[in-house]
Amino acid sequence: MTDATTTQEVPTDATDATVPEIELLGQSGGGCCGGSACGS
Amino acid sequence: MSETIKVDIWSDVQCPWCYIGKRKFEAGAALFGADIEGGEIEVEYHSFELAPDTPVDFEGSPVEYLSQRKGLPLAQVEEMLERVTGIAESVGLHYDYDAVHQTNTVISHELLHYAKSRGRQLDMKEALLKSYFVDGGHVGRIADLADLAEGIGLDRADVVRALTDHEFLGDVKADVAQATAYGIQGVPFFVIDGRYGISGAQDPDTFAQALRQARTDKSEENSA
Repeated sequence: MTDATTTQEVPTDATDATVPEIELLGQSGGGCCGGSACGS
Repeated sequence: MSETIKVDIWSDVQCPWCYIGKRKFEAGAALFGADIEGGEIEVEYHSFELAPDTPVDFEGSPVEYLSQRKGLPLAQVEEMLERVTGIAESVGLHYDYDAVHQTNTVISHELLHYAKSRGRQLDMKEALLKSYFVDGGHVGRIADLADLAEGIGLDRADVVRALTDHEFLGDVKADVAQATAYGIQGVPFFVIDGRYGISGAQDPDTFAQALRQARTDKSEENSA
């Protein structure tokens, strides 16, 4: 877990046509991620 | 056009921030003035597996698990968990990490999809998170999950059948694939009406503002 949630960009060029473009409004809340770069 | 605002939430049962984020989202919805059960907002939970390689019965504590997985000193992990436990308390959740059973959550995600098919996903999600973080329940075993499901009124025998047959595993994997397509790397992750993304357990105001924006968008589209 981490205080600064991963600041990933939501892709605007997603190749999956079923995934609409989304605008990221907030990205600073606590969160969990599975990768080694993340705290939990 | 429907006036209902759809909120899709990617989450894992073993993510402490997901339960905190659930409470903060609920508070944000209340600020917005919506009753989640009342139809103004439609919430759907989606599966995200933080650690799909975790065994069903991890031999050790959550502190040991995270230390091994993240390569962090035990003391640092203990500090992290103490901190998140304190934040959970601030939203009314009493985490008990001494009782947590670290496990693989894929089967609990299958149960969430089963519950969704019966119109009970929100209750099932709450029951799973409470069991894992508060009550020391095991959310990786079919028998324990069936007990939880029965506790919210679902048919225990049918739950056992569906989980044993992995009837909803494909739905779990589809959610994970969609998260990848969105670029979601951490949870909780909220998508409001398919157009606004919110990453993490944000303050209730952030959720309320996003919901207001979604409502404004709908009004403008309806009047166009």
